[in-house]
Amino acid sequence: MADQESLLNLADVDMAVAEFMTDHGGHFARDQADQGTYWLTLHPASAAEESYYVRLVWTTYPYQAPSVKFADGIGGSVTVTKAWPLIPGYRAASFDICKPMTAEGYGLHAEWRQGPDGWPTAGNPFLWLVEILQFDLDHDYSGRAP
Amino acid sequence: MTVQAEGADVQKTGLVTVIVTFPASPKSPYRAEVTPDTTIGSVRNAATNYFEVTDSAGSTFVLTHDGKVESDSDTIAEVAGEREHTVEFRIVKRITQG
Repeated sequence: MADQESLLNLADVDMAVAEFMTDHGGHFARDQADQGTYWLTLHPASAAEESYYVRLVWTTYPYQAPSVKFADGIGGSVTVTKAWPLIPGYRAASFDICKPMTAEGYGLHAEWRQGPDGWPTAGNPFLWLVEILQFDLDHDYSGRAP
Repeated sequence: MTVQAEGADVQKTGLVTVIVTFPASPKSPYRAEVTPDTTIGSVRNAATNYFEVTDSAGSTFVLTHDGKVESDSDTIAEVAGEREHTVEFRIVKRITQG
């Protein structure tokens, strides 16, 4: 559960995320029960009919990366392999993204926490992350996980 | 790359205004007025210097326009066409490790 300061910080920046997602045919919803949780709907450029649902769980914004999981719908299960896109580093079988941009990735690779792979805390890291997710879907996507 | 002083009449000079955004920075977007034959690579270098980010073993910073990655060897004219006097880019961190 995110602290109150984080919720205020998220409220300051999430409109920019909403605008970016609208430009790419997606949208997000803030979880009713936990305001630090967002549900994103994203579409790959090469398969606009495919919808991917991402659950982002922030605990301390902007200071720590969020948990990032694909779900089978908004508010749905995050333990369904078919909910995941096939993208290098996106591990459907492990239900995680093993890259230096998620809580799961930093949890697995402590060496990423410092230096050029460290989580960015300046500007709007929420938008930074969503831009990377959309970029990966647009450029490195090869279908839906089985 | 030719950079014109702010306030120049872009349409008369033939210069193109480039605007580059990068969300993981407290800085305002990078802006420059460049000649149409300026390469994307040149703009990318100037913008990454401005935002103080550099490529590393596990990631590169790419310039995107309308969601597409622009090649370093392409020119602003190829991206802007003949009518566009302003071109907006985003810098995205392409993470290759993991």
